[in-house]
Amino acid sequence: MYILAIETTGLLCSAAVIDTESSEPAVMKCGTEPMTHLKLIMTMADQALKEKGVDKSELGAVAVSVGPGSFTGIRIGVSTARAIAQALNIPCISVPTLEEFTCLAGGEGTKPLAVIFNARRGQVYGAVFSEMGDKLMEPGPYMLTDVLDFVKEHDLDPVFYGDGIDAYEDQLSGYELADKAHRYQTAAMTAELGAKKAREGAFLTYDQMLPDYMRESEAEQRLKDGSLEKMRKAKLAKFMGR
Amino acid sequence: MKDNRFLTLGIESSCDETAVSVVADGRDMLSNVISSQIAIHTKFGGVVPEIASRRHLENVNDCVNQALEDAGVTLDDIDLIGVTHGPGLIGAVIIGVATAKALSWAKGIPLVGVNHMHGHVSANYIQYKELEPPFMALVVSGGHTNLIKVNDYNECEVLGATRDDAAGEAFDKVARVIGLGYPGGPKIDKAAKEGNPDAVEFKRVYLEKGSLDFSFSGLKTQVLDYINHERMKKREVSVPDIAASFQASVLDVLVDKTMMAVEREGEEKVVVAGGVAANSGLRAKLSEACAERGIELCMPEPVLCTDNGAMIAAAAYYKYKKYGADDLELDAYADLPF
Repeated sequence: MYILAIETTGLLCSAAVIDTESSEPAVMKCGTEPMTHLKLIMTMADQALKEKGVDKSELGAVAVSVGPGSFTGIRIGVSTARAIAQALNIPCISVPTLEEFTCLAGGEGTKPLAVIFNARRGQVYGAVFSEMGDKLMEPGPYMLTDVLDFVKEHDLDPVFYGDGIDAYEDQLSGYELADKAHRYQTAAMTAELGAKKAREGAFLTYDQMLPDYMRESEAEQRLKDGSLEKMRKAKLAKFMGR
Repeated sequence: MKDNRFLTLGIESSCDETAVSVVADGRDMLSNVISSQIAIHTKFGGVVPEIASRRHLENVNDCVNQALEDAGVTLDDIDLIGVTHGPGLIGAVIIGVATAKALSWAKGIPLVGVNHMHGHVSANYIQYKELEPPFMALVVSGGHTNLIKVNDYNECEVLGATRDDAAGEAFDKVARVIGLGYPGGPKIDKAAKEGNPDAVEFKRVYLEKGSLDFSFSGLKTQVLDYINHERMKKREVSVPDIAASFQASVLDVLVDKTMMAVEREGEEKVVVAGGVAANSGLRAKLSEACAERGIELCMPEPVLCTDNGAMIAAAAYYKYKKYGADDLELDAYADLPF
């Protein structure tokens, strides 16, 4: 089965095509400039298919990286995948972005992987995987210090991946950091994990295909902790008291 | 094509409404699905862009299906996809554009990006089958207040615009101040019906002589000053009276400037569009002013004034006829000049 894979959660977007029946690597097209996800993603998908020599009518599924990552970026990919699946009447495959890095697990004798995405203010979306690709620290929203504590407590010596490195490099001294060419999520990884999920039969319909933001919007957080109400009252009082 | 008619699918997601419609031959609305998020945003006191974007993503595909089903067609019958690509809340606009591009690519259907404001003007082509440019358009919504000289289907000239708040924004802000809440437009309209428009004298802001621009940001301050003043005198304030007086001060300026533009440009037709065009007071006042001068007035029914997919489809149809399709690199914009 041919799968179209879409990755728009990070700084650069990419699209890839993979054949689940073959061991050949995915054919991938990558963006080279940030903030061009919406503009370029369909063109990249089209080019990847052409290079692989696959017509869109031959696609068996569309896999998409569902987050965590940039909220807007996630939505560009998921919206695109949903509409492609809807129009071509094919299933979707939901690929958790942090788990994409398990494709890089080197097997016995290599190092575990710690993946951190920048979530600002000392926070990350993070996960730690063994050298076999098994989850050691469940993917989720953490403080960077939670991830570092976990690594220390379990006496791990991982390689770090993800754009969290760029944000928190000064706090990662002493750890091995992936070089820039292999640091970030790509559609080739989405395709590889997507193909694995396809072989396991993990298909969704397009309307079941949802983002995994891992965090509520700021407004929802504020509504829940009561600070939204407080802020509104203060603002109104300021108006009234002019 | 179905039954020899050219079918356009219009997609709109620039604010808090996910809307999709199928329009035949640019004028005949076969379906009009609108999924409103008002209930969700009410608890936040206004539209929260991040939440709007999340809901658009969850809603848009179902809206497409529903619009096709209501029209009795399938995606294979669609000849053109039109989508709002700005101006609007960028995260929200993106969902419509990403969806439209993917549908277009997957099905090989031509795609056209539509300016949201151009869409509002085009809502009139659906309601008024014989209407053709040239005409004067007053476009008033939560984000815009524009007087537009429409010379042709794709040729518009902005004669006047707001220099600060849009008319709809003023409604929302004042509604919040007098405790009516979100959405301000319909709530003030309703309260105003119970009040006296001459009860409070709010200033009409006309700016310099001959200007067709608008300014509404001072009105909220005037309303606040009035409330504070009355409170200091220990007098009760009447919300309906404030609503009616505030509304009258906005509408007077809107109507006067529209008439000024019509007379200056020698137009014989006026069309209104945008969410505030659903305001019953504006509709009454404009009808009266146009009748007095023998000017033809087009006012689409309220469901075509607020955001909808049909107006986007209509605008897309005429844009496509003149300029052809956009390519797959169509992008979304928070600001998009008319």
